[in-house]
Amino acid sequence: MTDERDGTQEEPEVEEAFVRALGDAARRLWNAPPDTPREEMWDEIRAARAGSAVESGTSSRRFPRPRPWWIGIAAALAIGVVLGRVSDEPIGSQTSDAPAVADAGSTTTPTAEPAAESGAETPSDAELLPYRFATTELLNRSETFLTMVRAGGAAEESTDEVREWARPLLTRTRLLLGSPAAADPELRSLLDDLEIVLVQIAQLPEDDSEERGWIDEGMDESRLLFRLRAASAAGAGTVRM
Amino acid sequence: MDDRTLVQRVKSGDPAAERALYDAHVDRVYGLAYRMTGDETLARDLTQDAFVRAFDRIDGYRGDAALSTWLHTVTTSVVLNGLRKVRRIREREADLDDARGAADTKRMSEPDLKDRLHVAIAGLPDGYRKVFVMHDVEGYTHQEIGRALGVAEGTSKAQLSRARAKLRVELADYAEEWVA
Repeated sequence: MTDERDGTQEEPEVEEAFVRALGDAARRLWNAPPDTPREEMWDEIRAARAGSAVESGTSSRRFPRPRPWWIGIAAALAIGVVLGRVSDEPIGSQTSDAPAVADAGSTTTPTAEPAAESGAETPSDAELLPYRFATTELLNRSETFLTMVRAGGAAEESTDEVREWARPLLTRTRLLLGSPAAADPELRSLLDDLEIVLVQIAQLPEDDSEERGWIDEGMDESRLLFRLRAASAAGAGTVRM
Repeated sequence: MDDRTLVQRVKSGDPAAERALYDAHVDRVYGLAYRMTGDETLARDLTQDAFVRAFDRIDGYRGDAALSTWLHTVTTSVVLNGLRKVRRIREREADLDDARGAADTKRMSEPDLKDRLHVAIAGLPDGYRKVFVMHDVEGYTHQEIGRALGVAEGTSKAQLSRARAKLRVELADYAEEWVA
């Protein structure tokens, strides 16, 4: 491999051997896909495209509307509530598994290595304060932006402009996902969902009417605007689903 | 059949062309979906969803990028959207596992390479894992990853480098053997 490195690696040939062996091992041993069920999927795709969602002989569901994992979410949520596992843990009580992003040029948000990487102790309230400010600002701006997109106000703007507005928000979201602020599982979940929607907006095609419908659907499913408003109103440190 | 002809025929509703497009790309899309989810049913759902969406949006393809690049941008976007739901399930399941206590100790016994890899890759930050799986496991280029994830190519490279560095630490004993 000839990819750019962080400058902390060993000799190139040693590193190359490691990368090659790691890739081989991962391909063989990590979630190795079974044979592609080509014909079954094709039947489902044709049925969906024909608008006739027929039952497949090998499938217990209709396509594409049913989302089997919703059932799992609902069941898991119900059991989770019964078990009383609604989290009230303070910020910093868990490590973040969120990504760090190198493209920080367009933002003033404080940067940080992912908590999981830094191995740092639980940050103090004083240390978290700048992240809370940055988070509150991001959530407010995102709420305003997404409300505009949702209401169709952005339809008067060019797709290019809408994409441009989304990108700095996306960058800030990712920076915060890589910061100690994202150690709060509920805030991290909100930022994760925000990231997905912003990625979609940042990639809007020129003919974007259908894509916007899909984005709206995603926002509805995740109750993103509601959660953003709730988080903005409560302050970034007290996000609740 | 070249891309331009294939797309024209798909746009005109030619079922044979649709099937040709599907056949050319389905393994890669399904492979990524399965790698990301580790679940056959979810991978099937995501793959089907991805192709339905790609066919629905084919009129918007103007040939600015290679057909495969465009298709994988669309399909990866679908996979990512689906992963959001998968992640929620897994977080809830992890909570439930915690609640069940430490009775299940068998999982951590005799950690062979497969187990170690699973733990190491699953423990990567989300962004690192996506880029590692797409690049090192499924063979996507940084350009394709950048387009699909909405990041610069340099970001993709940096995340891959960090992912490998973390995996090297996690798999240090194997790494020594591999490079010997």
